[in-house]
Amino acid sequence: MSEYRGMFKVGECAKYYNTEDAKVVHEEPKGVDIHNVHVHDAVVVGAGLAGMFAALEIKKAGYDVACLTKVFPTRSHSGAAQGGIAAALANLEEDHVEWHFFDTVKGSDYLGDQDAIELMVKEAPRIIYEYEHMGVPFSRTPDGKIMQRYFGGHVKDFGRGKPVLRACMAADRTGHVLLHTLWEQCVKHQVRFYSEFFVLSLIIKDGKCIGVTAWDLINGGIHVFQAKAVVLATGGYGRCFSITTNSHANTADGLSLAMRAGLPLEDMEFVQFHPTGLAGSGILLSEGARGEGGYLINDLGERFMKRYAPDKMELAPRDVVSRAEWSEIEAGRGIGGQQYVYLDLRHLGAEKIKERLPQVRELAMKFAGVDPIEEPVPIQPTAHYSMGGIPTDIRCRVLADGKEKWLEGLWAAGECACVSVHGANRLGTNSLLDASVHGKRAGKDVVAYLSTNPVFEVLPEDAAEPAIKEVEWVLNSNGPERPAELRKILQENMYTLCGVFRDQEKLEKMYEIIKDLQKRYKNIHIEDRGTKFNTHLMEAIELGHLLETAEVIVASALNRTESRGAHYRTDYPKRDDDNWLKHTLAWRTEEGVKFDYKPVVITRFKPEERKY
Amino acid sequence: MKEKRTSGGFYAWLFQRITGVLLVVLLIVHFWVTHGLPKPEGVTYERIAPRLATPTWKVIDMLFLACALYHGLNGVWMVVQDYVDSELWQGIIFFLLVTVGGILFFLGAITVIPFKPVA
Amino acid sequence: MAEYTFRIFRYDPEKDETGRIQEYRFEPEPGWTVLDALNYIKWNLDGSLTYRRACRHGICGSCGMTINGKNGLACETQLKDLGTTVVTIEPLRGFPVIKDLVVDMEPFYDKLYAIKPYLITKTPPPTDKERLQSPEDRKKLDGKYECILCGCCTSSCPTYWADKNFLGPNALLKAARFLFDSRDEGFEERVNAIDDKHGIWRCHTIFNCVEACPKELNPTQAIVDLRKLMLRGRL
Repeated sequence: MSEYRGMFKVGECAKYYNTEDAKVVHEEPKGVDIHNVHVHDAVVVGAGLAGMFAALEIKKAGYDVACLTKVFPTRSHSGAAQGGIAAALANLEEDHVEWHFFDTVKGSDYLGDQDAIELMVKEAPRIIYEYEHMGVPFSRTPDGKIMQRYFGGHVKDFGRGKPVLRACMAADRTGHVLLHTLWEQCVKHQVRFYSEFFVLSLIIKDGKCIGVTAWDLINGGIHVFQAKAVVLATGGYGRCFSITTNSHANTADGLSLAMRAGLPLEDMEFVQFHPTGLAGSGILLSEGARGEGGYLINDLGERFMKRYAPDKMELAPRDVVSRAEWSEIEAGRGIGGQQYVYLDLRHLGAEKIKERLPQVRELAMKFAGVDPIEEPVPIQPTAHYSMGGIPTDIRCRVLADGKEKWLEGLWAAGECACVSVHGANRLGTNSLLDASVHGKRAGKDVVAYLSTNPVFEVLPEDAAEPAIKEVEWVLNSNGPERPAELRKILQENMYTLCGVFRDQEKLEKMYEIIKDLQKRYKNIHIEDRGTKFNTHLMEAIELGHLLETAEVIVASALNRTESRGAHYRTDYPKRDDDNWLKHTLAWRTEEGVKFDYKPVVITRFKPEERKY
Repeated sequence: MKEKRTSGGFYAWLFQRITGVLLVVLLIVHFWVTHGLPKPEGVTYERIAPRLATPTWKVIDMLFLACALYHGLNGVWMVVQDYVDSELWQGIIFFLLVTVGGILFFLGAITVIPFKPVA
Repeated sequence: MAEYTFRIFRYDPEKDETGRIQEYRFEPEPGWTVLDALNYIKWNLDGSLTYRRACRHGICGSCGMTINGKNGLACETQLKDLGTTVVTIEPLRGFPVIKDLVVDMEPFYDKLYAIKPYLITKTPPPTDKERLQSPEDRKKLDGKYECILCGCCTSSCPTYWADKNFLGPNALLKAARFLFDSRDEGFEERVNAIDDKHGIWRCHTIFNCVEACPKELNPTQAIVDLRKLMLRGRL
C-alpha cells in the first residue's frame, strides 16, 4: 500500500517537525507514536465546502494547514447538493441583495441573526464570482453569464413580488461542481489532506483549543495534531433520522466532540425536513424539480398546496411544504393511504426534464424505478438540514458560553455551526452559500489570528488519553448489544417521534428511548477487532455521537413550547414571539440537558407573521 | 508522479493511422489486381510478371510492403510496451523488431526493385 | 424476492495471507440495491465486512466495486437488474486491496494530480464579475465535468492493468474537461503530462471505461478528442 496519502507522506510532519521551534513546544503525548504527532499552524476538520474553503484561505495566506477528513474530500456531502447556490446577481432579471436579505430573515421565521444574514447575502455575489474564477462550470445564460433559476422562498420586492431567478446553477449538480472545483484548487495550492482520518477528540488546555486527535482508518493508530487554530467543519447530523437525505458519514461527530469539550449547542431543535425525498429511502430530489414547475399531488389528484400556500403553491419554503405533505398523509390523502404523495413533472415535457433536471430523472429511475417523464414520483418528507449547531459569532469563532466568550483557537463553519443565518428554517440554496461564505470567513479569521503570532502551547502529556480510551473501549467491548441495532432503533423513532410534527408526549417518549439506548450503548460489542480500516469501530464511535446529539435535539425540542420554522409542536401550534424569540443554548451534562438563551439580533426587519 | 518525459507517442499513433488507411486501399488494389477478385483468377507468372516490371507498380508494391511492416511491427511494439516492464527488455525487443523489419524490407526490395520478366 | 447468494471477496490484512470468497444467503427486500445488501450483511450478519460508502445515491463515488464481473456503484445497482440471484462482489481491479472491498485509490489520485486538475488561467479575471462563457462553449464540458472519481473506469481498463503508469481514462477525461474549457489557458502545462507514451497515445480504444462508467460518461471519446486536439496543434 502506498505510504503516500494525497501528495504527502503519511507520518511526515510539516515544516515544524524536528525544528527547534517545535522541540521547544513539543512533548511526546503518552501512548502515541512520535511519528503520529503532527504540528501545523492550523487544522481543519472536515473537507466539504466549508472545510476546504477555510483550508484554502489559510494555505493561500502562506500558513501551514492540515485538512482532516474521514472520507476522501470529493466524497463529502456538500457534493450532493443539487439545485443551486443563492446570490442576487440579477443576471436575468432585477434582484437586490436586500431582497435576498429579507427572504432569508423571513425564511428563518425571524430567528436568524440579521447582522450575520446581512453579511452573508452581501458576500454572496463575490463568493459566486470567486467560484467562477476558480473554474466552476456553471450553466450559462445566452449572453454568457451565470445561469440562475427559481427556488422556494426566494421572491422579489421584500416578499411581496413574484419568485425571482436567484439560484446560481450548474445543471442539477451544483454542489458536485463546487465541491470538486474547491478540491481542485486545494490540489493546486497543495493543501495537505489527511484523508480517511477520523477525528476522536479536541485537545483543550486552559480554555484554549490546541489541537485534535484522530484515528488513521487505513493504517490504524492514533494521531495527534497540534495546532494554533482548529476549524470544525464536520457537517450535519441527518443520520439521527431513518429517512434522511444525508450521507452515511453525517453522524454529528463535530457537534458531540464540541459538547464533550464542554461547549453548548445552539438551536438544535430545528431540523429541516425536505419535502421531496424519494419514498422509502429519503434520497433527495432537488427542489429544482419544484422550481422548474413540478406539481405536488395527493391521492385525490389535487394540487394540495392550494390549501396551505395559495400564492406560492409548490414554491413555498420547505417546512411549509413538508408539513402540507404530512397533513395530507395524516388526513389519509397520501397515495393509496400510504405515507407518501406524488411529485408530478409530466407536464414539463421530456425535453425540459432531460435538459434541466437530468439528475432528478436519473435518481427517480435508479432508486424508485420511476421515469418522471412517464409517471409521477412518490415522495415523502426527509430529514435534510440541521439549522442548529456549535454557536459561533459572525467571525466563526466558537463561543464557549454560547454568547460572547470565544474559546480561543477554535472556529466552526458550515452546517455544524450555528451563526445563526438560518434561524428556525433554512431557505433552499442558502446552505451552499452559508458553507462557502463562512468557510472562507473562518479561514480569513484564522489567518488574522495566526498573523498575531500566537505561540504553540505545550501539549499536555495526556493529550491523547480520551481518544486512546475510547478506541480501546470499543475494540475490547464485549457486551451483548449490537451497535447497528441500537442505531436503527434511534433513527426510526427519531423520524416518527421527533419529525415533522412533534408534541410533548412523543418527545418525552423519545427522550426515554434515548436514555435507554445510551445505557445499552455501554454494553455493545463489535465483530471487527483489527486496527486496519475498521469501519465497525468507526460506526460504533459514530453511534455514540448520534446518541449524544439526538438527546440534545429532543431535549431542545421538548423545551421550546412554540412552533417556529422547522420546529412544529402540535400542542403549541403558534409562534410565540413574546417568550421564544430567542436562541436555545443547550449543554449536555450528567444530570440531563441544561438550557440558557440568547436574544436574536434584529437590525432591520421586525418579526411579522410568516405567510406564503 | 515520478515520470520522466518520454518521446510521446504522437508520431507512432499518427503513422499507425495513416498506414492503416493506406493498407485498406492497397489491400483492395492488391486483391483486385493480383488475385483478380471479385472473380478469382490464377496467380500465374504470365499474368503478374509484366505488371511487376513497370516502375509504377514497383513503387506501389514497395509502399505496400513498408506500410504492412510498419503497421504490423508497431502493433507488436504496442503490445510489448503494455506487457514488458523492464526497460532493458523493451530496448532489446525494439531492436529486434527494427532488425526484423529492416531485413524483411531488404528482402522485399531486392525481389521487387531489380525484377525483370524473363522474356 | 427470492433468496440471494452473495459471494463477497474478503481479505483482512491482519489475518489473511490471501483473499477468499465468503458466502452469505438471505432474502433481500424488493427495491434493494447492492449497497443495501452489503449494509444488511454488515448490520445484521457480519459486522467485520468492510467497504466504503457515503452518500448512497451515486454522487460521492465511494462505493465503486466489481459486481458480477462488471464495475459499478453498489449504491445504484438494483439487485433485480442483475438478472441472477448469485451476486459476486469483488474490490475494484487494478488497485491494491487494503481490506475486503476497500482498495488503495492513491495510484488513481496520483494520475489526476499529474494532469494538473484545476483551471489554469493567465489573464486576470474581471473584478466582481464572472468570466463570460457562451452556452455553446459550456456545452463542450457536458459529459466531462460530471465525473465523480469513483475509479470504475480506470479499474476496468486492460491497458491500465498492464501499464500502471498509464494515466488512465479518468485522468484523461479530467484533462479534457479543462482543455476544452474556453476559460482555460493551461494547454502548455497540461499537455506535457498527457502527450506521453503513458498518456493519450497509450489508450487502445478498448471502450471498457465507457461500459464501466456509472455516470454514462465517455472517457474514450474524450481521449480521441484530445488526440485530435494534439493533431491540430502539431500540423
